[in-house]
Amino acid sequence: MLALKEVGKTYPNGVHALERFSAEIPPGEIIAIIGGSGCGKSTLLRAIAGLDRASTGNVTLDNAVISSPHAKIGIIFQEPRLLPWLSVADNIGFGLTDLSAQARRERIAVALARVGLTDKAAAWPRELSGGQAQRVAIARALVPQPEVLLLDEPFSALDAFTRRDLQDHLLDLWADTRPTLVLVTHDVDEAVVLADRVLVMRPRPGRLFEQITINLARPRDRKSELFDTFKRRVLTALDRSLDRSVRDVTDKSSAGEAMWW
Amino acid sequence: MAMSVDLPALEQTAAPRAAPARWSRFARPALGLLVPVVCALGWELVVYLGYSNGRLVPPPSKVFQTIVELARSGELSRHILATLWRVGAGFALGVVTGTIMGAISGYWDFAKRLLDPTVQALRAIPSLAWVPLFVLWLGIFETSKVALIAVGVFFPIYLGVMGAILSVDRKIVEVGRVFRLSGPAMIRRILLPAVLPAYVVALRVGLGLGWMFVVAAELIGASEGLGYLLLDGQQLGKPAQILAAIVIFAILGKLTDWLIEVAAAPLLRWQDAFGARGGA
Repeated sequence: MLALKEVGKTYPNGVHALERFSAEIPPGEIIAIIGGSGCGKSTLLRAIAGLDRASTGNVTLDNAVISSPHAKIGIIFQEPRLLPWLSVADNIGFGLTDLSAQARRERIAVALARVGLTDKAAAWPRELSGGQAQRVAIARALVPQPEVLLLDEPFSALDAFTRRDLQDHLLDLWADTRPTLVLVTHDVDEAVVLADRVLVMRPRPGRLFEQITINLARPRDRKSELFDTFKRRVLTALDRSLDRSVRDVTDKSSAGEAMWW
Repeated sequence: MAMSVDLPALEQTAAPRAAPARWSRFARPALGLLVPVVCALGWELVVYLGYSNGRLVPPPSKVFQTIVELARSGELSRHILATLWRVGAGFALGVVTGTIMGAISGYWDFAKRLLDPTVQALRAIPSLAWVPLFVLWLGIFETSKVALIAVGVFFPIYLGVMGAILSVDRKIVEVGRVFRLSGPAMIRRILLPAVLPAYVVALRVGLGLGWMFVVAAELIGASEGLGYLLLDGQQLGKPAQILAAIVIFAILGKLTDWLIEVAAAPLLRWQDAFGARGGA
């Protein structure tokens, strides 16, 4: 169980990015975190990954506090971040240092086949298209078989067709070992296609605004009416989350004005 | 479990590797030789036809003849070895100190604040200004010459290594953190490969400066070496000997540079750069 307990983050420059975010995510659940820019989505994900430490509260995985990168937590970034000096195969095997060479090769071969890039094993990252590179990044993160996989807007740099293809592909890969997925996105469609639960955040400081459970059977039909209903629900929540924060700001400023007068 | 993976057509943009035609392997270097060869033949012809006596600018045949004579007498190899030794020793010294200092300054912010201003101030001194001091301190023999060459080599290596480490992509370093690399593993698996291209460039620049400084060192006071051949040719009015020494400098400089390039090429095949179109 991945548990976030009142996680807050204030950066050294004083920016209050995240405030008292709590959630419990059982194993195998797919969570999408969605919200306007500056609502602390990425901050939250980095705290779960152990890349940045939370200022308040804590993140625990099976009751162990996460304060630095953890073997059971993998992450996929917005960019593939492949190491340009390693072949595709070596990039995928980057995290498999404690295996024998033979076992490592086998695991890499399976992963390559799984993401459909067997013929690219010896290629350099620069020879891949954007979608292929992101597949390699997915394979690299999944090959050590993490219990939790974090995704920070992983498909946002791709064109719409490739994005859809990779969303389906991700679900397919997820079904192999069913890790917990925590996906940060700003794409409502993506959130509803992938997630069991959508957490809508509101900005300044980032806070949990609303949770929407998507109880739609998979594979989900993007054109179905029910799908649209869920999308609309998430969109409405998003709108409200932004509206309210806007009103907060105007309230404050008008209060300030009143005092000034 | 469904193993089928749909590859959409738009992703199948397998980069067609430009297979270099066989002839271009030879034609490309040959193209580079065209200009010097045409100039040399032209000058040879001018002197041959009597338009110039070729006394101050001897024709290539005369220069070649001088090289052959020097080689026959055993002089040439003695001078070349002396110069090569000096460049080799100075280069090695400059590379080792430059790499260590550059790595420390690049990796450790405190060291950069502490050392870099001094190094930059020293760099601003024209290196030949050190000569009198080095001669006083280290004598007029080999040590002062090697020290001068090492000073010339040091700065580009130091700057190259420091700059390369400072500009390693933070995002790539973060990948290392995600996979929980230890400090040494981070250096070996992320930092070293990342700085290698810039390091090779720094080595080549440093070597070029090494060749420049060996001439300066040998012009100042030497009884052997290619720089001595230059000076000797000037004092005795033998332009062919000067040109012979210059030609040999050019050949040795190019050859040693090429050695670095060839040695580094297998390590840099991954580079996605404009210059990587053809390969070395």
